[in-house]
Amino acid sequence: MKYNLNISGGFVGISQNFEGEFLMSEQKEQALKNILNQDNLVKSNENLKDSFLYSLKLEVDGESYSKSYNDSNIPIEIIELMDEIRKKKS
Amino acid sequence: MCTKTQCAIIPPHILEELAKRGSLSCKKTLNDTHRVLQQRNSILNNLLIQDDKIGVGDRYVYDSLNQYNQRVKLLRKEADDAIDDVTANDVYEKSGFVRDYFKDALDLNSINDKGMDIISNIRYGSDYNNAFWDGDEMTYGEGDQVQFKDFTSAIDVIAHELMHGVTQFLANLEYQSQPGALNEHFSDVFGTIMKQKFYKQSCETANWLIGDELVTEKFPGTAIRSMKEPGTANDFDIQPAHMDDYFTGSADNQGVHINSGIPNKAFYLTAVEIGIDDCALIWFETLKVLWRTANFNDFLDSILPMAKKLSDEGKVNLQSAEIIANSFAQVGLEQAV
Repeated sequence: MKYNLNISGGFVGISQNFEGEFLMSEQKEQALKNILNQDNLVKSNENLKDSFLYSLKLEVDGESYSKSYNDSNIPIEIIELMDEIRKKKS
Repeated sequence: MCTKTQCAIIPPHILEELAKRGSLSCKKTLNDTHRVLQQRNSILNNLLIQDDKIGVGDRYVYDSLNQYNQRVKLLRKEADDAIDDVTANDVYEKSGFVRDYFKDALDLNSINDKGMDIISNIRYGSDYNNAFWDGDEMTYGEGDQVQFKDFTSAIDVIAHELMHGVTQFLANLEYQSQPGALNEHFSDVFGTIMKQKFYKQSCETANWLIGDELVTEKFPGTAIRSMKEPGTANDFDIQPAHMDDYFTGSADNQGVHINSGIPNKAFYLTAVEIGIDDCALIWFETLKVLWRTANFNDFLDSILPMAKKLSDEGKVNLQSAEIIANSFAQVGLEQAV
């Protein structure tokens, strides 16, 4: 699974881009595809200020899935994936 | 007028125009209508909303325990003794300093002028390089400890986030384009004022940097932003200091943290002439008469009569309006004749 993650905004306002490839179980891959395919379950908080903006793009078996979130509506599964991506880079 | 989401006798665009022409009641109606709508949505979404009762701005400090959740564990509340946690004590003291300044200098009772509780969440997430205001409370990451320290380490960061709350309740400037840049501007202005007050600095001794205490030696720059020289704080700093260099891209909600450099520079130029205290009063009173969609020109059209009014009342320097007009002209903003 290929990924492209862009984190922008926030108090600091410096963009970060992460690109690479992951090996993960089919079950986990399917769960992520489902999350990116569905509408955001949590409505974005319009009073949010200085939030990060997260844009995630996954490529699985030649198909692309992408979605954008902020700190008020990002699903925990995506947060966990991002933490893995960031750890992988560091 | 009645749409799916909003009902009002006077359409918002007429209220907005009347607010621009100086009608405080229309501005209040406009902001209240939006706020009521937001509160209704909040209730519908079963979210926690603040009681409308009058409080005294009690402080609550929660530990997120490195989870991406707020209010995980209460560490310290108002009147509690200091605890064995430097970060918790630090954010408690600094948020109290900001609250007390607003009360003593500007007669504002906490964030919403109704004594709203001041809630801080620390140690949010993992290596989280950010702090944010969410409409009800403040949340701070502890930084990656490589380029960023804990976000509670800087008084201007704490004041910046708290000020987003004040702006939400006084003018509710929408968070995009010029109104969003003004929203950021007010947070930087009161962030820098609080820093100067906290460290007992003068306009001459202050460094006019935002977030300089937040960055480590490995960070490619000295701070996040500069009020004095926008665009020079770090290798990624693209803040303009003049309308000629106005950012027109879509990033950052159309440049809310970028174009704020323009009014920030005007603030700096004014402050070195009339002092930080007069500026604080003029900027704060102007915020009270701004509205959701106010742009840079609306801001200028509002701040000049406010400065004149406060001068006439003997509360600020007699030349304030003239000095502010000159400062804004230096960044490319002049009042239409």
